[in-house]
Amino acid sequence: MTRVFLIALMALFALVGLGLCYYLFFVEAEGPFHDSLVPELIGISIEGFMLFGLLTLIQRSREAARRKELWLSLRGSFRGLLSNLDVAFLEPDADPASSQQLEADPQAIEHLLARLETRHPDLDCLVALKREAGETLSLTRDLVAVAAQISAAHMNWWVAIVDAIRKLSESRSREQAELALHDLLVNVREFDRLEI
Amino acid sequence: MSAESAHSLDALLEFLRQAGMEGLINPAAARARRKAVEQLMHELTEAERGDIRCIDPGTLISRFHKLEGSSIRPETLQIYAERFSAALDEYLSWLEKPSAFISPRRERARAYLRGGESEASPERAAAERIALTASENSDHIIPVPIRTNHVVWVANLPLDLSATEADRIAGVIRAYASDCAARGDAGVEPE
Repeated sequence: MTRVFLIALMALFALVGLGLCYYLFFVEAEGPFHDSLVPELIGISIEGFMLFGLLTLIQRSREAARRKELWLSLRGSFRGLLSNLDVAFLEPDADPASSQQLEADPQAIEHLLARLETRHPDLDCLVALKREAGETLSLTRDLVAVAAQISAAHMNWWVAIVDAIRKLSESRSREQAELALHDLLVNVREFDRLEI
Repeated sequence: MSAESAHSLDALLEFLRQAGMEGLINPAAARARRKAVEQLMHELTEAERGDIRCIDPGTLISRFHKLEGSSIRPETLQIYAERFSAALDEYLSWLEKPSAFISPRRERARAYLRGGESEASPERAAAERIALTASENSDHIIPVPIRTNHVVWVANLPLDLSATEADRIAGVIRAYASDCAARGDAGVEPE
């Protein structure tokens, strides 16, 4: 059920309820419909508005917040790798990216991909990246179950990310390491594009 | 300026601001050093703020447990520490003899362009392969290169390994050799 449909349903219940209230209090009428059925219908409208609409919206909002937290936990788990990569492509006397950018900003991934397409990281940075990948691998692998809680698509892309980290940790040449880095960044980009 | 105030943190920050504007230091380098000092200055003691000659950048970065409000990123902290250290050295050398002060060189770029002259030669590629392969092994794993393209790793040797124990390990390895005399269909006799 989409958010728009929910809001439309709430609006419908609210309008019907208000209309019935107007009919009950401001229209002079007699009979069982006016005296008995209309109050019942108003009650149903209020229940519908509250139960179907408001409570569902609150529940969905809380669920979205929880999924966002899970997403941030996942993205933060390989922040060290992105940080090393950011340092690898850092211009002389430039400032490193902030932690928040690395953890949550999809533009940071685009920037790193663009840099990787035009530049080679030096050997020290490659070794540091490989070591960091080795240290991050077990943590990211353990988080597959967390990615599955967001959605199946998130889990699939997360598995691809873990595989790229594994390849990086096992790389034994510049070509292998750079290919693994490229795969990692592309997979993270796809992961970021998924709707939470 | 008195000797005390000249060695204060404020004087260092002022120097970095002025040096960048006056071209004494490359403006980008001066700005980067100033930013590094500003990032790390929160953990300085009062005594260190008063006399920057007391500051040991190594000790200073060990006091950090978070940076920019987030958990620590060691590689970023290391960059700031290097810039902080460079700023200190430059300022102290300028204080000592302003006329002999030489503008510092900018930081080196860590990455190099694809397809440029720096593209890896076969020798460099081989050296990179060795460095990347060696990085997989922690200190307690001993590499034994037995052929040109094959390395055997021996792990978990005790520090007080005796000659008898070494012979025993060698015996196990020897049993795996395809031309080992003791190896046959019946297998190796247990001790």
